[in-house]
Amino acid sequence: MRATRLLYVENDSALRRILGEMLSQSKELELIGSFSNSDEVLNRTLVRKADVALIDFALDQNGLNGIELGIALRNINEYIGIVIYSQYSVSQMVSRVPKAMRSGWSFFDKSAEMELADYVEIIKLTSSGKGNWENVSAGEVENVEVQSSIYFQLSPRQRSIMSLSAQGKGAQDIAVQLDLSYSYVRKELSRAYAVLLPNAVASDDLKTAAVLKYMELMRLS
Amino acid sequence: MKKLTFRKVLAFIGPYPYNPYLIFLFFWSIVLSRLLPLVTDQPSGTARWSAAGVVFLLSFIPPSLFAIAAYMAQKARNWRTPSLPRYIIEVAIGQSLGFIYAPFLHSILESRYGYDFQTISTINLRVFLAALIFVLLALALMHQAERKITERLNKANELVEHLKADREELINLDEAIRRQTSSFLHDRVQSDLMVVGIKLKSIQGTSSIEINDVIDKAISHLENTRSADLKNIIQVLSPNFEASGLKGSLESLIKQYESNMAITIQVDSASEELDSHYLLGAYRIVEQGLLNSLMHGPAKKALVSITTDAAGQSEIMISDDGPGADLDLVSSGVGTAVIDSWVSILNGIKTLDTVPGYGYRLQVVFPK
Repeated sequence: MRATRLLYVENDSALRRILGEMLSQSKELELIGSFSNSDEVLNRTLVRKADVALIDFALDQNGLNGIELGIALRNINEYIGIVIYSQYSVSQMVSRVPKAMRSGWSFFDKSAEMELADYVEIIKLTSSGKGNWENVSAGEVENVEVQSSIYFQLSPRQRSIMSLSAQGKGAQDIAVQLDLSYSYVRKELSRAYAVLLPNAVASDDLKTAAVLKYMELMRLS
Repeated sequence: MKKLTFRKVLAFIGPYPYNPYLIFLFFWSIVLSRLLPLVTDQPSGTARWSAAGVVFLLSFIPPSLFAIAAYMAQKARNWRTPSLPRYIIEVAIGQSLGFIYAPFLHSILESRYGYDFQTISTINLRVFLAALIFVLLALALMHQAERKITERLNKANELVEHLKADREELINLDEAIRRQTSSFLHDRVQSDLMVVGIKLKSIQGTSSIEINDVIDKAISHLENTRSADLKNIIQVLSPNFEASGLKGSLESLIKQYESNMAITIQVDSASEELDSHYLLGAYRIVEQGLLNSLMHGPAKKALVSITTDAAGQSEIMISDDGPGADLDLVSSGVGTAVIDSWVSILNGIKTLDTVPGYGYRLQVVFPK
């Protein structure tokens, strides 16, 4: 079996030289080019010949970053494996790669403690389409509605009014106790109901339901 | 004392931009005071009340006409250079409106109350000119006062704008230094440590067991400094949103608070797509807001949520369950100054709510 053809992109010249020398010692890898920035790589037909690219995330500040370069390489060669490494945490980077393109992508944190064998392993696996992106990913950015977060969406004023309401006090009593106007308390109560019961139907007994919900949240928090 | 020159006298006379509201008030009070004796002349009771009503209504007519005329003149006015003669002609034309309303008022007041409201037919040129001078003087006094107030207001506004610009400049300078330091630490210090580590590793195989052991310890020490301490400092000094996103950057930020407070971070995907300038603003506001939460309590739990709606309006909310504090106390301090500066840079609106015993909530809304 022929050696895996590797492209290496790293803007730090010292690291590029020392790690490049190390990688070329492996018989399983063939380092077919090492570059300091994205422009140099993209101008070559070399990309079509490569099996995999090892790319530093933080490249030239005015050019592409590692992920953008990886995506560009994929557009030239749809089979190329992409390995991103960085001094920044890589866990957030997976979500920057389009979902449809993620297979054959790997990520790892830069480390001086890695052996040559560790590099070879991750590079070869990625070139054969087995990227580690699923294990690295910190999870998608989703709009999750966390239960207990409802409590925090109430303003402190609304919380103080709801907790008096939960003690069975009416709007008039609450207004007197908190030195607020009656109409203000009524307004804040209905705003609090809207936060506590976003899907309530008009005919529901809003007050009871809202108080129950509030007490449940207080237990949670 | 300043020299009173002819030029200054001319400038005092006019021209002025008309203020219809002031003009209305001035002439209304004149007309009303002129007609009031008519009311007190009536026998007390219903007759006096009804006369008061009639006078009240009629007194609106002249000042309304003047105010409308002033408003229209103001709208139509497009002088390249201020022109005193034209201004005087305008005022004279306005004064001639008396030819329209005076006979009307006269006929009503004469027939109902036998009151002689001086008609224009009894006014000759000399009276007209005297009245014109009086009106010009009154307008000058009114508008002179207004001009002074406007000038002062403009100056105050200029100062506020100046302060705002200075504050933004300071923030930008501070961020520039943070960025430089952060990228130096990342590009040079971190990278050099990494290279030294790899070099040490490469000579490891050639030495004795004892030396290998020392090298191992040295590498692990360097790696710890590089990948833990430095990484954290770099991120907090100047977050890299390209690498970590807003949510990831905030999660690195809250690591230092984790022992004191449980913090939940919610960032929706639309907010992650904001320009880096907005992301930095949001990050700094949350940073200072959480410091506040820590200082006033500390709170047990806090929620940070950053959302952006379809219209591009974003909302930052920092809410905790701490003991809360007095609003006046919360509104001072360096943290608040930083938050206020960013709110003004982002063209946003800040809302602060805290009730003792019920936590603290900061909301910042800013447009695209």
